Amino acid sequence: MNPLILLLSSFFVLIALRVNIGFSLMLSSVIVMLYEDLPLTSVINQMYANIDSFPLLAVPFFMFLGRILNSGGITERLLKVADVTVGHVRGGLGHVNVLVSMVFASLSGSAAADTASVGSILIPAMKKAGYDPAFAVALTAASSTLGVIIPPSIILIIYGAFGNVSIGALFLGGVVPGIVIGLFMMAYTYVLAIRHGYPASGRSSLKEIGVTLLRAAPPLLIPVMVLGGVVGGIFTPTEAAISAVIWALILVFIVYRDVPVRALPGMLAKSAVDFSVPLFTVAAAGIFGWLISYLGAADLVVEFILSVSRDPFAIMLMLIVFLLLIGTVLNPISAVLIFLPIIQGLGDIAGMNPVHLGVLTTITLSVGLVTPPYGICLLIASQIGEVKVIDAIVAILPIILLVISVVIISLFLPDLVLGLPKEFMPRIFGLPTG
Amino acid sequence: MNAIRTINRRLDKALQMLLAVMFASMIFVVFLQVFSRNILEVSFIGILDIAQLLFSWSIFLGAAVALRQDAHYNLDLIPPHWHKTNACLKAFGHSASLIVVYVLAVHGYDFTINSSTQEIPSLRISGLWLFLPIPLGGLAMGLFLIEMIPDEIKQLRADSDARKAAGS
Repeated sequence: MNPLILLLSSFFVLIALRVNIGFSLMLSSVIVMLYEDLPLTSVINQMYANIDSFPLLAVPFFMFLGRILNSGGITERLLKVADVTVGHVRGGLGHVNVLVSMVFASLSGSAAADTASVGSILIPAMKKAGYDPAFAVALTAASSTLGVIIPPSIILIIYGAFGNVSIGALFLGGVVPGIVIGLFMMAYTYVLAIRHGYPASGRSSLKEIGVTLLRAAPPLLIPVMVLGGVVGGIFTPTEAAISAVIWALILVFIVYRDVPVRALPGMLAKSAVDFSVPLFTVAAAGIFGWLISYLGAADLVVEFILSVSRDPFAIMLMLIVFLLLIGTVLNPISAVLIFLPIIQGLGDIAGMNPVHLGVLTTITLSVGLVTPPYGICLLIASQIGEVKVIDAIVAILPIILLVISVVIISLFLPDLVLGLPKEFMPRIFGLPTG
Repeated sequence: MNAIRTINRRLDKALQMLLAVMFASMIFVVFLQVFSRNILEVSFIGILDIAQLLFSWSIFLGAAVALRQDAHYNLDLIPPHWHKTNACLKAFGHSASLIVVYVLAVHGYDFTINSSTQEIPSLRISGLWLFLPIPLGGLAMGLFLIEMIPDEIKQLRADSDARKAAGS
């Protein structure tokens, strides 16, 4: 049997049989290594090599940041900001939902955390205000996926660390498409609000807006600190993450005093378990990814795609379809780790800029967070909204089409992604500085 | 079985405390590096190696705790109301994971011992400390699985008996 087929088929069979994804990656690798008579100590070596990376240290810190922000009253402060700025527009709560997810995305980079925290407040509020419950669930889940697109994004960090792409440039590249997707979602909400007569909140006075913005200013400094620090060359992503963590700890425990200090050890332990899950998967993907390269999988896929078409856009469209398909069964982190050699191989052939490719990959994979069977954000939101998953799926389909349309637009208009990185990090693109 | 349950409960608690301490130390050392580099304009040699060491320990020990909490990524293809199928798959998944545990514990141990002759130059400690969390994490996973798999099989049997009783 072809060892590559054995590797991939055993992996997919194992995850279908509910073996944990990280364990399936290792187990299928072990099967092939025994088959190929390779030493099993290489498993340990490759696993360690994959986590021996300083940029990866940013992942636990950003995940901890999300936990700190969720535990305090910061989410409520952000909700108030969103309410006074866009709540008066027709379909106000829907716009608040999208805007607060965009802001939350710029703070923590975790989609599931956003669904749980924002959803638990806004889904009941939207239902009470007369919104279709399935739409409330769908919008909450879909807007939460902005967490993996708008920086800081854990998937962009992992993509940058393993794909050898500037994480700062990836962060900047995610900003505009993320905002465009948010605006598309708001426009869709507005259309539905007109059609179904969804209400708007009262318009806030300038004083009220000013006071609310002032109260929320300290947490809103976090994205400025992270993005400004990384792009300005002051911080590495890991250093930016730790600075944001320290700032958030000061806010929650000293300034706002939302959470008692005695809760900190529990938060630290829970965060350590939280981050060990994706990072154990990262370690396990080390040996799997090494075998993928060793067995020449990237070359085979590239050969197959080229036999279908050599047109760069056709190649990219096929890649997007491939990513949408694998996104339905794998979470974005696993998908990036496993298929990065193939994604980058195809990107090279299509002549894609690595930053452009990384951002498009991330946006496309983010769709998988709301599609069955792995649509974790949709599952969390459906549970909060007490809505059948099938109703939520029907309600989310138009929003998914909007996200895919932004991917396609970004493919044909590269500057939508590359405009900001080129402006602020010209050296990476070989452009003259100053 | 009760002895294993007690050991695992204590191990789980001890690991969680250790994880909290290691993560707090990781935050402290990386912050110290940022502060010293940007404010004091001094860099401490080896501080990032300490962070990297704590990072790998946290990952492998945390992964063991996550296994006991059933927090690892899964693909849930089967509808949640198919209780028996889901319970069977869960027991199968954990049983298959024993092979991974074997590789982590046994081959991880071999690799760790082989690395003990090397030294981490910046910290002047044996390379053993870098890889030790891998066999230890595997060992903790093994202990947790010894408790979890029989529990899952017992639950499956109980469900099956209850269904038979309801049928008759």
